[in-house]
Amino acid sequence: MTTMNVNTKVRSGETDNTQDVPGSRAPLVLNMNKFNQVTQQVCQVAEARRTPMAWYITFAIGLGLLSLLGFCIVYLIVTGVGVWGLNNPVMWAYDITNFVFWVGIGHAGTLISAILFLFRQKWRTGINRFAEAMTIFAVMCAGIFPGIHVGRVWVVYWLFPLPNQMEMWPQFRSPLLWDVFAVGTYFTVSLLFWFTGLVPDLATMRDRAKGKIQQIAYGAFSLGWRGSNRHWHRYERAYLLLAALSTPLVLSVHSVVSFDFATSQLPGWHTTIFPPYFVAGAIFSGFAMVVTLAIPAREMFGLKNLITLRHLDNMNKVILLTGCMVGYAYSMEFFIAWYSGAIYEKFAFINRAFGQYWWAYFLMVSCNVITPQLFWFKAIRTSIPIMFALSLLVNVGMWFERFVIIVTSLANDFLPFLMGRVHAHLGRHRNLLREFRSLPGDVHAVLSLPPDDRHRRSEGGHARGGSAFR
Amino acid sequence: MPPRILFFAVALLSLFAMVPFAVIAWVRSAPSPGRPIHIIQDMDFQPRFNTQTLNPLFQDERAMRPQLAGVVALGEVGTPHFTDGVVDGNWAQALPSEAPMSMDLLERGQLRFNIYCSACHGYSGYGDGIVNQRAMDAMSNADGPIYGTAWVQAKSVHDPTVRDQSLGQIYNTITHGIRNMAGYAAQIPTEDRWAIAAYVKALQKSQDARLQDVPTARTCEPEQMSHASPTIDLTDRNIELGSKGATARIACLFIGVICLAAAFLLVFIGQMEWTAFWKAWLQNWFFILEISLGALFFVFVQHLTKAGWSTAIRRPAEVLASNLNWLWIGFLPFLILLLMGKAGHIFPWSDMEMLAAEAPAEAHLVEGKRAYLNTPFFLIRALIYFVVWAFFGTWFLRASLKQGRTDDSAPTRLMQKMACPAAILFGLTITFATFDWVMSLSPAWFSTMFGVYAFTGAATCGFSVLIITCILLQRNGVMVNVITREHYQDMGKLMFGFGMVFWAYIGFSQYMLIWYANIPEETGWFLARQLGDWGWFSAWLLFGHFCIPFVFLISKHPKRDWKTLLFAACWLLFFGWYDMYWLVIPVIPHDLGTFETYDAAVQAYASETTGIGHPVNWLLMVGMLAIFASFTIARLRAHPLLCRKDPWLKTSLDFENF
Amino acid sequence: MSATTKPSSAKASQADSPPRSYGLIAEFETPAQIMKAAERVRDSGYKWWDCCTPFPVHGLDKAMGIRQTILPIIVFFMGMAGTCAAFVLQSFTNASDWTVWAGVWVTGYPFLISGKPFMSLPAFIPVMFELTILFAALSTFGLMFAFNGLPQLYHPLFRNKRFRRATDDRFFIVIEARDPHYFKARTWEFLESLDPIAIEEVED
Repeated sequence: MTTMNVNTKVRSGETDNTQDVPGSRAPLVLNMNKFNQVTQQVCQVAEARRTPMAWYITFAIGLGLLSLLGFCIVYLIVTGVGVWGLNNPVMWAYDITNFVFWVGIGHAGTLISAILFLFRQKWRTGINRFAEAMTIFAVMCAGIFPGIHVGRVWVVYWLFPLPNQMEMWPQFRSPLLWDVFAVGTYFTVSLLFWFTGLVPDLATMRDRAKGKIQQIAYGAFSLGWRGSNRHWHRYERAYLLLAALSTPLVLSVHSVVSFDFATSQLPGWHTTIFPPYFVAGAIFSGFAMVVTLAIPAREMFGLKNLITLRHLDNMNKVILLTGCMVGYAYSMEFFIAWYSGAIYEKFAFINRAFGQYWWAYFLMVSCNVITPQLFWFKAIRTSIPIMFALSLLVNVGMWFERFVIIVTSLANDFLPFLMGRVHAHLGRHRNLLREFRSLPGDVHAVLSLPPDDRHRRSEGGHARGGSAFR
Repeated sequence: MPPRILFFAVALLSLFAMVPFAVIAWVRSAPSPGRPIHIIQDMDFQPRFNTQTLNPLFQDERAMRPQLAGVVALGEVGTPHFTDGVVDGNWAQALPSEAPMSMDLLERGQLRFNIYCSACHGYSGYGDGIVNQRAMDAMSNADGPIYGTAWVQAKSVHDPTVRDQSLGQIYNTITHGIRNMAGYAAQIPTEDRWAIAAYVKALQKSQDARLQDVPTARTCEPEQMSHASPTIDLTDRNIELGSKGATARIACLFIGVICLAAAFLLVFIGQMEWTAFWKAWLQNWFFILEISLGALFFVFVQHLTKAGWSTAIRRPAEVLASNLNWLWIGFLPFLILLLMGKAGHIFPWSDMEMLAAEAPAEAHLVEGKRAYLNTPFFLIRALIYFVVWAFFGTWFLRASLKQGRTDDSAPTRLMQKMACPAAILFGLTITFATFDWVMSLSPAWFSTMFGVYAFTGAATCGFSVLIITCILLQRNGVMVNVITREHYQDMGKLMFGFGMVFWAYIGFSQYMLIWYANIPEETGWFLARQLGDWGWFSAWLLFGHFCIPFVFLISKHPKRDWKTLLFAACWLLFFGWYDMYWLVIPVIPHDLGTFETYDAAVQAYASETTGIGHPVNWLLMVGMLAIFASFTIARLRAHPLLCRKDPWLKTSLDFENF
Repeated sequence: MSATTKPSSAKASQADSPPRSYGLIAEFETPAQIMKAAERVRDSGYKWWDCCTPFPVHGLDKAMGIRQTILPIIVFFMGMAGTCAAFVLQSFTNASDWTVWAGVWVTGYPFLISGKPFMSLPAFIPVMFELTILFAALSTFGLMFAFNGLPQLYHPLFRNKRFRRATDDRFFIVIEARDPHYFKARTWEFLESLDPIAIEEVED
């Protein structure tokens, strides 16, 4: 609660609290010395009488893109999953890439709320709420893709073990079904965690609310919380328990997602390091997304004293750390592919780096491993524009990581006949419109992939015979 | 379909039907000066004479009849002490013999007091009972007392004038009443009045007690009652081993040498093959190495994250890690064997001719890896690992000692910087060292996860030995109050999280992925660990390394108690060793690929034994651990046991879990 | 000691009896103050009392003498129940051909796929794990609020203006009238001795 101490200095409009003095912790919030000031600062965003124009504009854009998504989904359902370019051999591409990408984004929220909580990292409090909200929306985005990928979306309830007259059950030995349980549990627990954390704050909003409607709404959702310490006692226990449960859960979710690939026999997919590697990658991309969202949020809503430069600095360090882990995993895959002595493994990785999708691989490595190394320099870790750019690059890189894993491995199956490419087309336009929806703050963006050549490639790559043992 | 009018009629009627209830509810709840309507009579109004009213039946017209003069109720006559509370014309100081003192009496007194007295005097005797409370509410009305209430508050039994009264006088007051208070002789039997009097005395004592009044056996130490932490002794006496541990060091060295010698002897007299012996050596040596690597991980992670809580326990970890500068000695036998070209039975890739003769298919695969798996490169890599480990292992200890001599925090800053390259190089070296020394024992097999698995092993062994070291230091009378149960709880959490849960996660993922894909190059490695006795061995690994300690350690209480934590740490350390045995010893049979079915392979190797009962294994384990302990004790004695002057020291000493 | 307001109620003048009192609240400014005050209240033997704070104050549980909640133990067993439920579900549907009654008659359907045994324990573990977490998390969430007696949308304290700062920056001690030791004047005096900013009576 100290206003200024040895750990802070003002530099070009930003209060720099990243100076380290061993033995003392830097202040978590700046320029505040009363509890009330913190409440004021936090609540003013939601209580502001006039919604800023920028919000309407971004919301309109977001809504537009959302309706475009709705249109695309309807088109997809009416036409079939072929519009994604799904065919033999690439029967998974953008759908599963997006699914894995969004689930990964979600991980940062849980990491911040649960794992950093268990590690007593108090700085998490500045960012955990919107990271948790980001998790929930990211998991919702993720849920869309397998949902529409299944083709007959009207029978998606078959994914659940519901008694039925056909005596038909889900196939529990399939990793895809594990996904249903993992992502479903993850969504539920994230929601509970988020809401549990929110209840006392809703009570604050209730007690500050001026209008009747606000009072009733906040009152209902705050469940009558009154800050009783007998309640706080159980609340804190429960929060700790939820954190302790979410920590292995968050590890399990992306591990299960990685099992979708790693349980197969496909070179490039089947490798044992996938579970921890996917988890590290998920945290990596998620933190990048938090930085991407935190920078505009703190600018626009005046939260610079709460989300300080130190928060950003710390997040950049986590990005650097997980980036190095991802780099470790890339190199392990490559090394073991060579070390395994299996020609298919070797080919899969050579092809990944130098084959028809070399550009995707190049994007992935440069965005995920090389550019984050800039974060070794403190000047870059504390420079807002550079970290914003780098966080965007990481997001791009992580999307391409999933693309590379899924598409390059599938596109080159064991038979020359089964070597192909993926094309997506929407009506006459061969562009794929993908949807980046996140946060109620509504940052929407759209990316489109450059058109691809339409021809199946039957040449290219080594001819690969059938495997004797497969 | 009934006519619509009927609906309206019914609705209207139901509405009207509600009116009486609504009126009654309103009348019952709304304040009004009139008498409330009484719906449920409850015998509230009955023909009777109220107290203090007239009764024309009697001549004196008193509704309350006085007792006739000279009437004595049955059993009412007793000693003056018992009936009147008087002894020799003075108020009695003690209980009469008819109602002797006992806990039962006091409890009876409390019960009666709460029934008869508390209404006015309050449960704690302050005169704040419910009657009084209501009266005071009526008195404190903003517009003056309602109906001119006048009220004298019941006396507090803690009032000095009452407090100094003797037992007999209090008994007398209860019996006959005083001022506004009526006598209770009619309602309360004599024994109970004494019981109440005794309880009142106890109640008075309870509100006016001194510490010396409390029996010594029941006293809590003042320190325990307040939150103030005990004074922490930071003098040399508490944070240096000094002359302690000399015997233990010599004894450990002695035991170590004897055990190793005995193991050698057993092999010399032909109790074990040399090949098997060197594999057992490799397993035990790597196990010891994992302890130090785990400790090194602990040290640099604290600097990397700028942790504050751990400073009090960092020195033992630094000392454990510093052993990395001599542990390379254990590698020398393999250096010699490799240079002599006789390591083919341990590292099959080092003797390709033999491998080609025994297993041509495997040799074909290994041929492709010669660029990596060849003796010179293998030795160069080993040299790199040892240099890196020895450097970081000793560097952190030296830097930390330097910090202990200066008030400047520069060494700490330097350690924080150094933690970055340490982390990267640690990750790479432990990965490739495990590939080299464990994975290449089955040269055709591969798993990208293997380095991570080895790291979890290091965490298991390193954290459990760190816990054991801290507990043993405290049992020897040093670091008292410096290392607290808070630190133990956190170390326990780390052991639980990394050594067990993360181990299980990595182990399961590796197993499940290979089991699921079922690709022949990979499954052989696990199949070898399921044949014959190895199946049970693997099951024990799962239960011993994860399931049992998971249930045992999941609560915070066993982590906070040194006895249970010591037990858990020793258990896990043993299973760390057991895990190494499981990794190193089994050999994939060369003919595994020739069996038609899985069951056929299992049948053929049903009599496979694990050989864990062989004394050489245990002698090597005890011997190497003892020598390791001996060196560790020597270094612990040479340095202070606490990172003095560390900037985070105070944080660590004051640290408390939430 | 700053100004303490005496209770006043306009309605009481017309009514026979004054409105029932819920209890007294005392307001404090810092966590340290309420910590000290809570220790005093605890030691004076009150049972029906509470501290209301905008955030959990570290150590206040101890100062209030709150017993550890049994929530974690229940959650542990709920988690185990989740594990068992998942195992039963998977082995019944994929590895048995039994017909059992679970609301309706259902039959398991063992079928061979990807060469895996019917009872593929390694393949069952992910779902077992997920359901463990799901059961445990749901029971943590539900039981925490249930034990706290929430949701409770009305509470006498909410009518007090001063108390609104309990969710912002002020720390309150509430002693309820139903406490056997409660006696307004004496409790008021006692609260005054704790040196709060203000004391108020709260009507039920």
